[in-house]
Amino acid sequence: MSRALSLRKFLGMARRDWSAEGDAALLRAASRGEEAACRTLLERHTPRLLGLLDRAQRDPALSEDLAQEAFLRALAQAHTLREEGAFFPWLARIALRLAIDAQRKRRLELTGPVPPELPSDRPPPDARLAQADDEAQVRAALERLRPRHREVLGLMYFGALSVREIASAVGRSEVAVRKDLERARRALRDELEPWFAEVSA
Amino acid sequence: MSPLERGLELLSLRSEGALSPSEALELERLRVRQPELRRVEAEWSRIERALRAQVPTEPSSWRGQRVRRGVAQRLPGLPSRPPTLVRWSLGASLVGAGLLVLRSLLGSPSVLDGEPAARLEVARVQPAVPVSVEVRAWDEPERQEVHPTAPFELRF
Repeated sequence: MSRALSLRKFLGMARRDWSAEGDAALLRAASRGEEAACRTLLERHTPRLLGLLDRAQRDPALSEDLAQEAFLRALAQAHTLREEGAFFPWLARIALRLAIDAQRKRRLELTGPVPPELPSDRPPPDARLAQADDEAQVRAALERLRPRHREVLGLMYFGALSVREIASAVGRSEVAVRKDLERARRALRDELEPWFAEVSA
Repeated sequence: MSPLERGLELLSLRSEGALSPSEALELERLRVRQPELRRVEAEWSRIERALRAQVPTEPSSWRGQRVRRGVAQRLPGLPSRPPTLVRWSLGASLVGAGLLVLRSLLGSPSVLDGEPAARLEVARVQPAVPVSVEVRAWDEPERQEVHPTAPFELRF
């Protein structure tokens, strides 16, 4: 008689199926060096995290670097995550801060002034360029906002987080986050007011 | 609160996905009466489109794989790179256990990207004889142990 055991089964005591575990358990295990838990956590959250980072800054390769860094920082600070289900908002906040820092560094590295806006005396040749113009204007305005406002807007629009998730990420109440969002939207619109006036003239 | 301010509040709620049907109706009425609100709404739609714009990228599975590899390389406690060959050693009391055959050992297993494809075949086993097995894996070029397990026991 012969029996064949898959290696996974054979090593059943050492390897474990982590797919049904919650994020907090995965994070704790991954921070202890459990590869399978780390892999499950990464597989679960990397696509959404990359989406956030791609929107927060426009360099896909840099997004991958920042995603790695965000995961490593999360693993290093695993003991500070208390609430089950709050992992992604927490990770998103770490990633967004990294993206903001990276943009700041990149600006400092550039020689000469950064053009705050695309030339406005040329009409955009097609809708794609018009959209790119909108994006450049909005991003430039976003960078001029207070960090608190920039953070809540980034988590909402880049990370597609709900108000509840943002509240969990920033450690404030949902009411406070709604107020911040409202103020942030107004501030952003105020920053863009001259541009809107120019394009509608 | 002025009608315009109320309209702005309702627009905020809509952005947050928290607008009730009655509030949606209220917004519709305000929109008709407040041209200023229509202008602000159009500006906001433009801002939100810009904020939510996607960057065209490679398939996310490739990018995710690169991120996982990057984390594995940099995370203390995980192997610095995937092992190219894993060997298994049986340090054990095989007395009376018959013959254990290990084969199909491992093309290029990666700790983070998949389980090793080895299979253990057991032939001519004697029932109820415990076999103590210790498994170790090495990264072949550097002979560096990558993920040892504690000794454990198999009972057939």
